[in-house]
Amino acid sequence: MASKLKPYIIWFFVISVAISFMFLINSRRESRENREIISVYTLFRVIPPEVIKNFEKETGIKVIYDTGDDNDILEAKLLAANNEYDIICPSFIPYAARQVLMGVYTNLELDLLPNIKNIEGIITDQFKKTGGNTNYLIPLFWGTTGIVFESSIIDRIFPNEKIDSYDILFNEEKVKKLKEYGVSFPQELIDIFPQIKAYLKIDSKLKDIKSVKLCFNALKQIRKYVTKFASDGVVNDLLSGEICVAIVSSDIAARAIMLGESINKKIKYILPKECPVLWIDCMAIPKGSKNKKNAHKFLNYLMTSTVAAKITNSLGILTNIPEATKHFDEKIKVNDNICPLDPELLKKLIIGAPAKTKTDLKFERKFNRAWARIKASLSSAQDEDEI
Amino acid sequence: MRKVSKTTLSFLLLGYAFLYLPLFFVILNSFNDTEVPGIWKGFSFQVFLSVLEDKDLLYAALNSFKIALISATGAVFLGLLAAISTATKSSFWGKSLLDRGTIIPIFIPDIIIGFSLLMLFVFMKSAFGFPKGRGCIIVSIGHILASVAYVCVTIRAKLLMFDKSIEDAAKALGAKSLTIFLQIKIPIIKESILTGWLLAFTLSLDDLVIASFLASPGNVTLPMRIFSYARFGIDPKINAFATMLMTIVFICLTLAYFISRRKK
Repeated sequence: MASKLKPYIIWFFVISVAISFMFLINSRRESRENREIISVYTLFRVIPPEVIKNFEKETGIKVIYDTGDDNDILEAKLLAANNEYDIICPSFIPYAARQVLMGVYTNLELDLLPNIKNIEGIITDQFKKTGGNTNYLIPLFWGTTGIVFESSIIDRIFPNEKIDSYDILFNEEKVKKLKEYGVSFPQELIDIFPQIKAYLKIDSKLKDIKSVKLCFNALKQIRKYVTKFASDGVVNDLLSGEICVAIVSSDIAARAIMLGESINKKIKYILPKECPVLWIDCMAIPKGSKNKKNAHKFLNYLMTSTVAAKITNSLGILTNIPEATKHFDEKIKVNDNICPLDPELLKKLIIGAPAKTKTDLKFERKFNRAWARIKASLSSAQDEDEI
Repeated sequence: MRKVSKTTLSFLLLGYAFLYLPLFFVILNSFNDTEVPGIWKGFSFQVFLSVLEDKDLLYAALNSFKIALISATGAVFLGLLAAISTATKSSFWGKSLLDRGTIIPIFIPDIIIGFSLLMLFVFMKSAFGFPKGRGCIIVSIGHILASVAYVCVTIRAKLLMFDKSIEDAAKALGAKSLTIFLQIKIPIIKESILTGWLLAFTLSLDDLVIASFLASPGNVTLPMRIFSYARFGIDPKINAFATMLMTIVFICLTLAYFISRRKK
């Protein structure tokens, strides 16, 4: 009998040894990291490794850099456990805007951020106009939302036509022709609602039920031509030919264009004239941070114009440092839709307004519910009563 | 040898194609000489080299394995105890409630497990000052909670089929209950223990939601890393990494096969 037992003893022995060995690795790492550290969390990998390496070399501060993919989880963690990260990077609308009102961020010490003067410019003006406060948030990353498409297909279907508006997506007659090549819409209502409102020429400040109904009826009509609702993965879908047109943000479009060149697929990005949307991602220090001084140092470092240019050049996400545009690679600057520099155009960009009052929030919730219905294709007469 | 008919053979092939064709494409793509997935450009080992250079990805993988090992072992330990105690024939008031209580975590969505554990740990920290940081142990606790029910179900199913007369015979011959447990019950349910362990290991390795809530700075798991790469197109590194994993698994399985054959 005893001999039968042996293999299991060995099994458990091996497992327990493996685990204790791993604990050992863990404790060794912690003891090694006694020097100064800061932890940074961004959505997606926006900061290239070399920038972090250079910062570590210059200051001797170790950076733990984590990336996630969801604003909502970030917000839940921020509200539940405020002392997690020293620097986080949420999207401005609607997340960071409401998080400031909840009082989760540190009032930045501007003496420790001499480089903050570098962010002054049209984008920061736009940010302030929408209620952004640079005492809490640093609007460091930005981009636009527009239409990306494979130009060979679009040119064939709509010859002799200048593509510069949402007409190809929101006009039933036109989007019908695109269906067989694939049409992708964003997941989130907030990424499409301002555009359809502008396309239908409804005043963006108007918040009555009638205008919302108009928007949803329009969306319902084109729903059957939309083959996909996705925010990530657009790059893959576009390159593999699963879709030919999508509403996306400019950094994703930049990546698609770059990869498309390597396989001779011509991909274009345009800022539609009805509603060129501006989005901003902010850097902020949560109140619970334990290394505030070092966190300020890192923020200040990111706002150096050469560093900001390095970030843009490596990933195509735009940094809001007007000085840095001089150092941008030609291949980024050459496309004035991806990287708009014309001040007149920048002033025209539209940034969504954060919900402020309770009725605003109620509206938002209702829209979201109706949008979920449209996505699930369950639209019926019920929707009308819902809204 | 019996001849296999063509229909049987084609069904067999279809079944295996369904299982392994997607993996085949992942392996094929990992040797692709381009950053664009899905379009073949040429053969190269370039991507494998870039995996080895990407410390973040490797570190996340190591962390994930660590968490998976700890949580699989923990889940088997707890699941075994739960299965043994709920598979007894004795009955008392409320037993069926307790039995079902061990299975309920299967129906709780991950997002609720993750968030409620986060709230619990934050509360504990403010009330008792413990746990101070949330390392991989804390993520493992979340994974144990999510997988223990599966382990329990697997083991209990085997225990319920267990012939009670063997136990009675051993008792009649004077065996103590510990001896019965170690030398009779454990050898009989060994497969289900191993199955439960592997199941818990896999569940932990794939989990994104619970880990997203519970991971503390520097403690990112592999799925979290992969999803944060996905915005700019699926990185070919992930193909290469998957190929490396499959190679390791294949080698382990082959070794296990030869070892078990030699014994016989």
